[in-house]
Amino acid sequence: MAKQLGFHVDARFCAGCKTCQIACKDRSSLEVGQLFRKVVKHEEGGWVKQDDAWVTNVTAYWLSVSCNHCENPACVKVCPTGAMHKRAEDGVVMVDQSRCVGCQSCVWACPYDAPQYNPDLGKVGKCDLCADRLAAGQRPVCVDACPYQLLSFGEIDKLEAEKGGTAAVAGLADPKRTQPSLRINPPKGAINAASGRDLK
Amino acid sequence: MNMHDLPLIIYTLCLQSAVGIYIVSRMAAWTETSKAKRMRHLWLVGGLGVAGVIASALHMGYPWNAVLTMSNLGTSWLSREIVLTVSFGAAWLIGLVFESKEAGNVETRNGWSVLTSLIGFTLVFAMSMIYRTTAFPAWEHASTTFGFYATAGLIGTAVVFAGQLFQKGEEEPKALLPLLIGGVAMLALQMMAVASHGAYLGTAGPEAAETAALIAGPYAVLQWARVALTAIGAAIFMPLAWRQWAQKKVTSVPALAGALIALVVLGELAGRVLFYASRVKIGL
Ligand code: SF4
Ligand code: SF4
Repeated sequence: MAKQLGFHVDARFCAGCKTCQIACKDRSSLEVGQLFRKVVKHEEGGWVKQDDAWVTNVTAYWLSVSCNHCENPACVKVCPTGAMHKRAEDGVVMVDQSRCVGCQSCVWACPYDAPQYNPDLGKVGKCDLCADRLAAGQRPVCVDACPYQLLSFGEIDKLEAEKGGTAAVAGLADPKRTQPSLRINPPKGAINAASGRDLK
Repeated sequence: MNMHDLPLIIYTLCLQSAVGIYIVSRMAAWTETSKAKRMRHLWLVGGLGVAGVIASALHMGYPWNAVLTMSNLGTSWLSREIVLTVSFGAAWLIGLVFESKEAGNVETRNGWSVLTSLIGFTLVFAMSMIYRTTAFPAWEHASTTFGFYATAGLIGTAVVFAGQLFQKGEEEPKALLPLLIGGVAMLALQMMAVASHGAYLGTAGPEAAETAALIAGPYAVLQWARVALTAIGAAIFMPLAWRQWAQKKVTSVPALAGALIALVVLGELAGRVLFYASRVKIGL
């Protein structure tokens, strides 16, 4: 398989400080309402009966998610102009704004809310894995910013071999949809298992 | 209702109506030889198409790049839809010139209308596939396709049926009974689409369940309006108009025909507003 870059997130220790989100927003000078990386809270659970007792299985955790540069990107498939494309050499999914018509088909197709419509331009923008920084030998700005150093980027197979992780985490779309280049070390209770939690 | 959806509501309804009216009117005019009768409804089809295309341009954030939208025919249903819309428009225009100049014989012109109809039929399919390839589970179902075809068929039969009844001073309107049967069949198809969609929503995950709750709750009035208006139009007013006409009680017929169009169009409008308003996306 060709080289595929992606992100790894060690969500077990994420405090939800949103430094990655803000660093990304600052770098891309995004207006209110647009985020290329989002830190979202996932909450679930309630009271369940266990033998004669009622116990809680409430769980809550933070997930830091951007574009996942999917192996099977729904956004690229639906884009009518070819503005949304997958770079052959490293699998990064990017938008060529000079071709974008602002139809928002990519916004509708992405199950991770990654493409962001910019009403001032009438076009869409999204995470390009900080392509200019990569070219200069630097890390993406979110990876640099995390005070706990929980975000990593690189070839997704190597990241997985080194750090483990999965994209099948409750709160995120079923990875079968787009095969995201994302691996998360999930917090306790986040793995979708026979316990009844549904992937989207 | 999200006002940003308005251009898409207008585009899909106008183009589906245009395709439906075109196909049904060509069937009704199949054996006609007079120019006036063969031209009937053709200008309406063109007007609806133009209105829909203008509305669709308003949906784009940067329409100056519109010429690039046909670049991804390999995987993008939107690209395919745009090519098919342009092709349907071109085929309609050529057919209009043929009919107005009475070029060739009737068989040749019927042949052209079959080709144009096939393009229109494929266009409605492409339109539905745009919605079926999104991250809105409520749309990712075959009922989207059947529903779009039913819209085209219902509005097509209602308008052409009523159009036949509006004609004055000529011999008796033709094809009323087949149109009536077609209209009721299209109503049945729409009701089937509504029912199968409802059953599917219960099986398609939490976002689809949220859509079901919206349809049953705050938007229930739209669902009932759609079902009631189209049913009253196609299953009551259409047979009633036909009966009045058959019994030569012609004075009430134009009013019934007008009411039929209004009911079916309003019912389909309510259904389309609901389609967009009740969507819930898989996201963060
Ligand atoms: S996360 Fe969304 S925008 Fe990014 S590649 Fe996947 S489908 Fe496309
Ligand atoms: S908004 Fe732009 S990038 Fe997204 S699908 Fe439309 S043309 Fe492609």
